[in-house]
Order: sequence, then structure tokens, then C-alpha cells
Amino acid sequence: MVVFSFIFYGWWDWRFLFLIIFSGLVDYAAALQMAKKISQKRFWLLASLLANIGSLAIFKYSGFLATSIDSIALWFGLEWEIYSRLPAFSLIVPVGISFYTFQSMSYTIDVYKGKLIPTKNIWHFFAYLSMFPQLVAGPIIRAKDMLQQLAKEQFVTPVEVWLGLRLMVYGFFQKMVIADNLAPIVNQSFWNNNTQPSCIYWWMVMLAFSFQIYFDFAGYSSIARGLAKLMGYRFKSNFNHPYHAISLRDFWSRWHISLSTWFRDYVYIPLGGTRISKWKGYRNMWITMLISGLWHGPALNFVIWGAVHATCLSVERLTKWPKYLHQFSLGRLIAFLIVMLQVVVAWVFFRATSFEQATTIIGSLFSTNLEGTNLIVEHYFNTLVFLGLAIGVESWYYLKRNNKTIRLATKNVTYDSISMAVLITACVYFRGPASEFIYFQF
Amino acid sequence: METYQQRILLSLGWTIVLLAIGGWYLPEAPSSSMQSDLFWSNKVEPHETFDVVFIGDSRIYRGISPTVITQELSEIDSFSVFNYGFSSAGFDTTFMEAGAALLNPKSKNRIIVLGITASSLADENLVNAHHWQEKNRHPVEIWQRKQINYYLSFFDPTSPLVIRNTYREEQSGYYQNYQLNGWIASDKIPRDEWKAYWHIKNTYPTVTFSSAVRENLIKKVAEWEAKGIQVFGFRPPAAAHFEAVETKCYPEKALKTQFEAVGGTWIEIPKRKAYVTYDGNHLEEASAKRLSRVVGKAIKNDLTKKPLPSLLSNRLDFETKPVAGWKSFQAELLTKEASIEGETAYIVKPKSYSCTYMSSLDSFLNQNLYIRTSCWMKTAKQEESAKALLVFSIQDANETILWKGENLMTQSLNPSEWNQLRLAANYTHNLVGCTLKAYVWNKGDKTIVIDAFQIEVLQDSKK
Repeated sequence: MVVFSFIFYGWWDWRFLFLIIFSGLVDYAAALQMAKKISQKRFWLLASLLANIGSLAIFKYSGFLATSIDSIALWFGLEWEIYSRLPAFSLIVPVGISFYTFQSMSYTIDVYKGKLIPTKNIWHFFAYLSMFPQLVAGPIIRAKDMLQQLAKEQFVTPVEVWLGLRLMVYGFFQKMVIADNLAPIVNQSFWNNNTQPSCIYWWMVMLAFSFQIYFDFAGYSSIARGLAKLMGYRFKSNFNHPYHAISLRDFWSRWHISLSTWFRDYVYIPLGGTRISKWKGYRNMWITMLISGLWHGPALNFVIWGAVHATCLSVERLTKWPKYLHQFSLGRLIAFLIVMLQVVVAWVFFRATSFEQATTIIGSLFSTNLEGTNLIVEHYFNTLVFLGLAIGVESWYYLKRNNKTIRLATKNVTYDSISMAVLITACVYFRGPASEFIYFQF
Repeated sequence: METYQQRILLSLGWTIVLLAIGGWYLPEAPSSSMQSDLFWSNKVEPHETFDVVFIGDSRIYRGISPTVITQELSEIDSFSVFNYGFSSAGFDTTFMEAGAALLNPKSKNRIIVLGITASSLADENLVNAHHWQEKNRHPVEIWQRKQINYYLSFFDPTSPLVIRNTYREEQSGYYQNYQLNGWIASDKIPRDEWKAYWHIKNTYPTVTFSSAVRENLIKKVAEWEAKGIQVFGFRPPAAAHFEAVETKCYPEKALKTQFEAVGGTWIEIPKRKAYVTYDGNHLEEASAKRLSRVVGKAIKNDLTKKPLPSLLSNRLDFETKPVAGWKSFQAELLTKEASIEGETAYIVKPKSYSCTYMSSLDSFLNQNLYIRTSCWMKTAKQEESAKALLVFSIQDANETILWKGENLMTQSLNPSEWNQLRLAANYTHNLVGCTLKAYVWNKGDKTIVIDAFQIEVLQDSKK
């Protein structure tokens, strides 16, 4: 497993294998030392955090930090030009660095807190750290879940083979058929943002991006989970139909679950969560959301995205509006629409290439300009079909969950095998233009 | 447990049936993604080298058919031609060198043709994202695309739009016929000649077109010419309204002059409005073939042209005292602070004239003449503008018969760097008593420096 994972990672750029090995060795040794010498626990935790956060700072944030310092220095008339003196290697972001460093850090933190007994088997540790299905884009797995599985010999039953294959095929369908077919309109619109003033057009684009990023990332997670299942391992679900959420808190319990729970367990709760005081609870939530934004990349737009979510979460906590709306069925629908509105508008900041572009797009979204709306069906037929398919897939899940008859009808062999064949055929004949998984860049 | 094995086998069976039905009955998309993958991977790693390589952006890979160029040049020899165009390509050194590396080193005529658009001179396009994306693909992926894709066209994807159009018997869609010589014969139905216009209208005011990019391009042309590679350049046509916006960022006259100054040949594309685009920017297939014929003919004419006989030639390099014909030469204006060749150049102060070349044309009575002059010029300091003209005139005792002038600003890529100014004109039926004069006129308030001043009178064969 370790050898194949390293070959898989080295295929992209073998030089960065040294980074993952270094990071892993530090954490493996630190955890063992923590267990051996209780008095030095804090020192070894700091060493582990320094190694992980240090490599993130060098490889992911050094360019951003250098340009920020240069700009501030220039304000005072100082031409430091730190950015131009940075070594070239520090400007390349190693694939998956944000995922495996977080995974590695959670291991040492858990050992420090006494929640986990460190493994002495270095192969098990590196298998946990670098397991290839989830190495480059998650889900971020926890050592306590994985090391136990690695310690036992895994047998794969026909049920697991079937479930693993089904997860993988569904993941490929999500990525290749839905996300990749929604990508062209999104890329074209964000590249060429000023040419379309119609608010309907921009709602279409933003819905397309909302579903693109969801199906792209959820697709990867499904493939990773399916692949792990075929090898006899179980990863926790990373997405739980986030666009079914009826409050923003609900949304965050369904979206990128492995990262949200990581931030909850290792940032929000250690800061005090809501236990200390109401206002400190808000402060902690804001810090968590801003760091979560920054985790996606060293850019202002991600921080603003985090801030928009923090603002909406603050309003939600303060007014408790979901509680009132959830009391009647129409209210739940209104709550769903409010959450979608917040999430879709926040995605503008996530996807925009500049703050100006984001404000222009938000201006268009809330304008009353309907110019060219009559041509949307004619010009963007493909986009609308795949947007419809995305909504249809999520609605089908909703129907299945809430309707026992449908649930039972879809559990037979014929339905299962035909639906699998349809998904594979769709992946072949309706695949969109190939593009990388969006979360590879994080 | 058996039911799960049954599910896997049944799924496999159903998949084979559905794939077969899909492959036979689903309508083909107007552009094949399998062919597209094969095309781009072949472009970065073709199996052979070529006599002629076109380098440029999407206007080149959609606008130039190597097959047509080969046909046009077939009267001279058998030329192998390749189109090395990439989306949003910018003329940076590595991209140009990658294109030049495809030239056959043993070829008798090694030719590079640069299709220069404003976009290809924009600073932001120097990253050449598309070019590097294709170039940096994993070798295994490139192999798979080149060797396997051909056999997988049965599984070419389609789209809901294609199905709808087939059902409605409509022709609409983006037609792209990928050819392994680097050309994509393209068309989009319905056409929208304003599509690209809105993009450049909104984005070009914020795009940087720095003179360094253009200077680097010219240096590369000079380097290739020095290595014996013939370099041609041209501006691919687009829709008139698109070109009107592009022209504001495109110093065509200066580019052409500097291109020719270092030995390149600039191809003028006549009747630019006659070409049809499908989006305002890219030519549809028939227009692309027409443009290819025009460019092919221009290359053929250049390769077969005979030089005009020279009647008079004079060159002032400011290294030695001027030979006969030069008036008002002031030795104190020589400077060693800057020169394009040798050690000295000549200062032309503000609001004054340089030394002047004067010659009687009586020796060439009743002949048709082609007069051309050139001079290297720059501002003495890092100035952003200057009002200086290279001038020649023909006068008889009573009046000026012909007067021609070219401004430093319209023929320079950067006035504070050396630029060669060029000026040429036909003078038909020379009569007795005419004098030719050539000089530099500094009308502005910035000092300029000139070097390598040359004048030639050729016998024009045209009647």
C-alpha cells in the first residue's frame, strides 16, 4: 500500500515525495516520543505542528506572505522585493499538501490529548498518511478510524466489491457527466464576466458552479471511498447532500464533512467553542471560518468567502430564524431557499478571480436586467440540461429518502444492474471536456 | 452473496448492450473530443520535422491550412508545412523556440511564419498556459492519445444539443475538423460575429501590451535570420469591428518596419474585410483556405523574386567622414555614447535637421525609379515620445515633386531603443533637372541620435 501510494504521488512530481516522507517521519517520531516521555509532550507536539504548518507556510503561503509584506513595505517607501528572492520550488504548491498535513497533524494532536495510542508500525503509519485513494483531495481521514483497520487483515466480500464499484461509478458520473459538463459555462463566464448583464444568466452560471464544485468534489470523494472499499477499508462519507440543508449550520454538517469536523475538533473546540460565553462563541466561529477560507488558498477571495459564511452563521445564531421556519412545511421550503441563496452568493467570492469581478457579478445577480434572457435556452441548452440533471439527481435522492415505495422498488437486482449500466454509458457518451478535480489545487 | 455477483455480471452485460446501442445510434458531435486529444498531443510531438512552421495563437491554428500552403509552394519544391498554433499563445522566447525546433535542420528552405495578433503580444499571454498544458502532459497520456484514441472513436461523446439538433434536422453547433498538420477547419452555426468583440472591448483597456514583448519578438526574428532561417510575419484578419478595437493595441506599422529591419518579410493581407469569421475573431473554413492561399502566394513570390537592379546606393555609418553627396555634416555632433553599429552615431538637436544627402537624378532620365531609404534612430535619453521624421524628397528648380516622411513614433516599438525607420516610394518617369534629398528632421524638443543612414535608387521594372 505504502509503495503504491508513493508511486501514485511521485507520478505527479517525485521530488515532493521527500516532503511527505519528512512530514510523516517527524509526526511518527513525535507521537512515539510523546507516549514515551510525558514531560516532553508539549515539546514534541510543537515540533510536529512546526513541521506541518512550516511546510504549509513555505509551499502554500510563502508567495502570498511575501507579496503582502512587499506591498506593506512599499507603502513605507521600502523596496524589499522578498517575492522575487523566493526560491522557485517554494512557489509550486505540492498536490494535496493541505490534506495530508492536516491528517498528519490530527494524529499527533490526538496522541497529545491521550485520545490515541501511537502506532509503532511505521508502515501502518505511512499507509494511513499516504493512502492513495484519498491522498491528493481527501477525505481527511482520522488515525483512530484508519489505524485500527490497518492493523487487521481485511477481507473483501462480494457485497463490498459491489458497493465499492457502485460508489466509484457514481463518483465518475458525478465528475465526468455533471461537473465537467457544467464547467465550460462557468469557466467562460468567469473569464469573460462583463459581457453578459442579464441577471437570469448569472443565476444560471452560479447554480452551475454550485453544482459543479459539489459534484466535482463529491465525485472524487465517492471514487476514493469506492476504491478503499474494494481494498477492504472504510472511509467516512464526505458529503451528505449539502444542498438539502435547511439551515447554514445544517449545510456545514453536510459539506466537506471531514474538513468541517477537523476544524471543529482541532480549532473551534480548543478555542472554547460556545462553552465560555456567547460572544466568545461567535469569535471562535469567525476564527474557524476565516481559517477554513484561508485553507483553500492564499487569496483574499477565499477569506471573504469564509467571512460571508461567518456573517450568515452569526445572523442565524443570533436570530434563530431556522427554528421558527422549521415549524411548518412551507417554512422548511423557505429555509431551504434562504440557505441556497446564501451559499450560491458566497460561491461568487470563492470562484471570482478578483474582488472587482465578484462585486460585478453580485451586482448582476441582483439587478433587474433581463436582456438576452429569451435566448438563454437556445444558447445554453447543454448547460440547462446538465443543470436539470444535477437538480434531478438530488431530487431523486430526496424522493428515495422520503418515499418507501420508491426505496423498495430500487433495491432489486434489475434496477441496480440497469442503473449501473446507464451510469457507465453516460460516462462514456455524455462525458464533458476533461478537467482536473477542482480540489486538487487545494 | 450470489445476488451481488449476479449484479456485477448483469451490469457488465447491460453496459455492453447500452454501449453498443449508443455507439451505433447516438448522433456524432460536430467536433470529436477523441480527435481533439490526438490533435493536441500530435501537435506538441509530431512524428517528423518540417520545412515551414507557422507559429501563433488560435487565429493561426484555425486560420492557416498547411495543405493549402504546400499546394501554393509546390511550383517551387515539395514543402512540408506544420501549424504550431495554440490557444491564447503569446510570443515568449520558449514558445517561439519550441516552434522553431520543429524545423528540419537539413531543409534547403527553413521558413518560420509568425501570425501576429494583438493578443499574442499581450503580457498576460506570455504564460502560454495552453501550450504548456499540452507540452507537460505525462508521456504515458500523450502515448495513449496518439496511439489509442484513433481506435476509440466509436466511443466519442455526444451531447444533448447534438441530439436535439439531429432530431430537429438543424445544422447548428461548433464544427471542428482536426487535421494532423495542426489546422482546425472550424465553423460555428449560427455564426455570431460580435461574440469576441464584446470580450476584447471590455478586456483590452486593462490588458498590458508592453514594448518589451514586441522587442523580444524582433530579437528572435533577427536571431533566426542570422541562422539562415527565413522569417515571415503577418497580421491574420478578423471581423472589421474586432480589428478596429485590436488596432488600438497593435502598432502594425512599427512592427512591420522593425520586422523588416532585422531581415524578416512582412506579408500584407489585402482585402481584409472579405474574410468571414464565425465569432468575429476566428475564420471559418473557406476563409481560412483563402487566407492560406494569400500567404502561400506571398511566400512563393518572395522565394522566387529577383532583386531590382541598383542605380545608386549610399550609406553613411558616421564612423568615417561622409563620402560625396552629404551636405551640412557637423563633426562636433558625432557621439560615442550610443551607436547601433561601429562606435559613433550622430546627434540631431531639437528643432533642427541632420546632414542631408543630395544627388541629381539626371543620370536616370525617363526611367521608373524605386527609391528607398532607411536610418536607425532613437531618443538620446529614456524619452517616451519624440517628433522626428526620416524624409526624402524630389525637387526640380521650381517645386517639390515628391515628399515623403516617416515619424519615429509610428515606426518604433520603443523610441528610447534603437529602431530602424524605413521609407520607400515609386517615382515614375524621371525628367531632367530633379534632385533627390534625404535627411532627418527633428521637429520636437527631444534630442535624438541617428546611425547607419542608407539611401538606394533602384530601377523599377513596373510600367
